[in-house]
Amino acid sequence: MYLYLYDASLKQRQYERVISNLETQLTDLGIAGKIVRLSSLLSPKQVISEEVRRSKELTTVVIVGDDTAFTKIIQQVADSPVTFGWVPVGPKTDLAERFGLPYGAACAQVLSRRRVINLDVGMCNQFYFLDSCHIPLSTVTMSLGGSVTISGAAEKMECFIWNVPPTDQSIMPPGYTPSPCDRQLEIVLQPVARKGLFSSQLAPPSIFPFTEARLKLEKSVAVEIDGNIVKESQLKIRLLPQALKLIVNKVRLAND
Amino acid sequence: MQSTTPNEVETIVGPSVKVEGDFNSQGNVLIQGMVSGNVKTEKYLQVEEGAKIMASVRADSAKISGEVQGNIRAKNTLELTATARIVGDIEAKTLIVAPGAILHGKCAMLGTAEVADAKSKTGKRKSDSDLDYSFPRSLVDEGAVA
Repeated sequence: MYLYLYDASLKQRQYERVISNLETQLTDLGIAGKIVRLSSLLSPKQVISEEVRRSKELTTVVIVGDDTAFTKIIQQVADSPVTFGWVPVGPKTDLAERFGLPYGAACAQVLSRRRVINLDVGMCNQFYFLDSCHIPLSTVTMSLGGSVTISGAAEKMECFIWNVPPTDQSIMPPGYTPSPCDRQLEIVLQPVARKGLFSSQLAPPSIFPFTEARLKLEKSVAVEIDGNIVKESQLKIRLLPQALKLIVNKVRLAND
Repeated sequence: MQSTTPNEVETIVGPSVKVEGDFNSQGNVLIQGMVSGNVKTEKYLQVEEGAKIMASVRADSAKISGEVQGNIRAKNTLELTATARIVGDIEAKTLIVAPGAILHGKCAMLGTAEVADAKSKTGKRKSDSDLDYSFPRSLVDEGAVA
């Protein structure tokens, strides 16, 4: 049985036609299911746990929405014992494209083919992340697995953790390709060698693979976890290997 | 034999980073900064010029252009470039030393029959005085020994 979670933003009139076409396609393919329209008062975690409790036949939860909606929902429900699907509808569907998911009704075919892959999920403090985590320029001391301490020699560093390769690969260090299927996360520490008035010169980066890391920042900074901003001064980041089952199109994710 | 840098570097210790503690890796490691602790990798290790390791190093193969204050053991190839500076013993199956490399320590070759014999007879490696050296007779000044 399928459960469809519609993002609150899809109530807008501009998406009516896309949603209507999608529902027709899903019915034609025999994978229509219960539809829940999310709102600010309805927690996706509650909805899923309630539906799982109510019906043991619930195997697939399909999120209908854009990147922001998908990552926001996944941040809360990544540990749910179901397979996730995703129909990208909305203004920003860049992450969906990286999983080979076509926009709107065309994605129904992908759902019906049901190519499921297990993806690594990161957890930064209490938030899950599938795509990336970014810590702005700050003085960082990092501990990997409790045995190794890493610190910047003098200058501040910017930290990136990519789980899925970004669309613009030029922002990553040359020769480095993250993979959501490799059972490890990598942290990229990018120090700024010289900061000018109009631009900064970047120093060579450091890359450390890890499964668990603790970061201590000099002061509280705005940490971006899958597009959502949280202010933190201490971070515990760990890997949940192959924790998320997601239906994807035939796409090559690095090392899978 | 692996004497060139592999394409995929999995761990990079950049020049502006300081690592303290024992560092274990499953993949290729490139060190450009400073490491105070043992470094162990199952694959290839490259220590670049200006980098410094202050403890022992173990790797499948290694190319050293920086400074290592500790013992180095490479299962396969160990390459010391002209800028390498080692204060410690080295062990390797294949050793490449460029002119200008500095080594303050002993050197042993892994996998040779002599080493295997020495280990099997005593259960531990022989010291230098225990090893039977066989120099050509023409080079031995027997009178001086007596």
